[in-house]
Amino acid sequence: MFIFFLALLLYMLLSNYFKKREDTSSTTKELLVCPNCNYSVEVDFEPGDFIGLIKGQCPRCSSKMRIKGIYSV
Amino acid sequence: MLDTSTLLQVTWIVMLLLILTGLYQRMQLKIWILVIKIRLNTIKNTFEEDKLRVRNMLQNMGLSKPSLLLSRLLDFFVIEPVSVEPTDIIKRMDHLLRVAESSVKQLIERMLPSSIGKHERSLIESAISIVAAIGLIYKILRHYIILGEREENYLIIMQLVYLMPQILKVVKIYHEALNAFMYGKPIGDGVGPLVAYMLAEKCNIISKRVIDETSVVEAIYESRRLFIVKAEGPGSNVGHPGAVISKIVEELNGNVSLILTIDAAIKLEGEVSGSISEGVGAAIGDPGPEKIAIERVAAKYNIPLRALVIKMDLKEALTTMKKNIYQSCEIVLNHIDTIIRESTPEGSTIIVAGIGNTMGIPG
Repeated sequence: MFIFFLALLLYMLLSNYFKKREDTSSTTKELLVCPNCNYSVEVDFEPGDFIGLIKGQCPRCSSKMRIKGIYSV
Repeated sequence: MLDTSTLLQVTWIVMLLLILTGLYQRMQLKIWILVIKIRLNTIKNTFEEDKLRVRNMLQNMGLSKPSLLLSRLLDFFVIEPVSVEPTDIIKRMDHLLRVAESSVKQLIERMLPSSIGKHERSLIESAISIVAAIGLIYKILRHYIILGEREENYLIIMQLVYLMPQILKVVKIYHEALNAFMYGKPIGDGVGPLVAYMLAEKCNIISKRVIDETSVVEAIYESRRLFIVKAEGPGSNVGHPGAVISKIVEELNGNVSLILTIDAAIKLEGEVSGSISEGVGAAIGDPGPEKIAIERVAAKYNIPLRALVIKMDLKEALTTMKKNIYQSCEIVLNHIDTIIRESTPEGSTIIVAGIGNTMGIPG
């Protein structure tokens, strides 16, 4: 009886320990796209930025790049 | 010395006495109260932390006494309209919701320096409402724990202890959502407005106007006249899409071939996040006035009402938009294209509405 309870307790503790833990760490990225040559790059989000904002220059054709998307990864 | 069998017998007798006298239940009650109090303390700490974050945000924006604004808004309430007499309840509810919305907006506008723009003010409004929601959860829980402890009400305490993991989860989601609202990042719920924005980018735009904090883009798409409706961005705003759709249909004397709403929907456990479902009806999760406005005008002129929803859980809906949800927007655009081609002839007029919070999404 005692061994049964001990085994049960052990099982409960272990199942709780190995339970899939949620990954809470995430960073917000911005997808910058060049409307001229379609070059795209993912950069870190900066406060005040929004989708559609003109930001930075394209390293390929020197056109102004636009924020196409903001998302967390 | 006591032998093992005597010890076992004494143990059984003590246990029997505990059960028969009800002492076991009282012990259980005390343990549960302790567990709830520990968890309630976690919620209180979250509430205080988030309040401090919003207070600092207000101070950084130039407000000298943020506590004054917070004390007025954190306990702000809206009394539900009388429902035992349902006549014109939607009209009354709409009135109350609009008064609440404008009162909060005016208060924030009056107290903040004039240099703070509409966009920033909307972020403050949403951030305060998140802190207020956490505060309300904390106060309700505290009420029931005090009540349950004082009355020694086993049922109240038992319900609380079993509900606590879910409540804590919601509080954690609100806490995480505050980050997105403080910096104006697009949230999962903004998938509807984002699809509307992306659709407008693919069209030949004829005109743009803003009605009732809701943007309306008139455009040509695949030889059809399209009215793209979404909340006015990029501030934290849900607009009034129902009222605006109703107005557009009335302006067109009901000559609309299709109303298509796109919104985020809470998925069932096991469903894939970012998956898309198609259906019929108004995909909008407001308390009632906006949804009924769409349904009424569609029924009045016999306009097909179609809906597309993007599935996600509560956390994904309220926190920064996940990459997979962002990527699903392109698939939604293909769905819209298919629905438009299948259900409407060339030359027809269609209304496409992206429902949700448009934070970080312009237009």
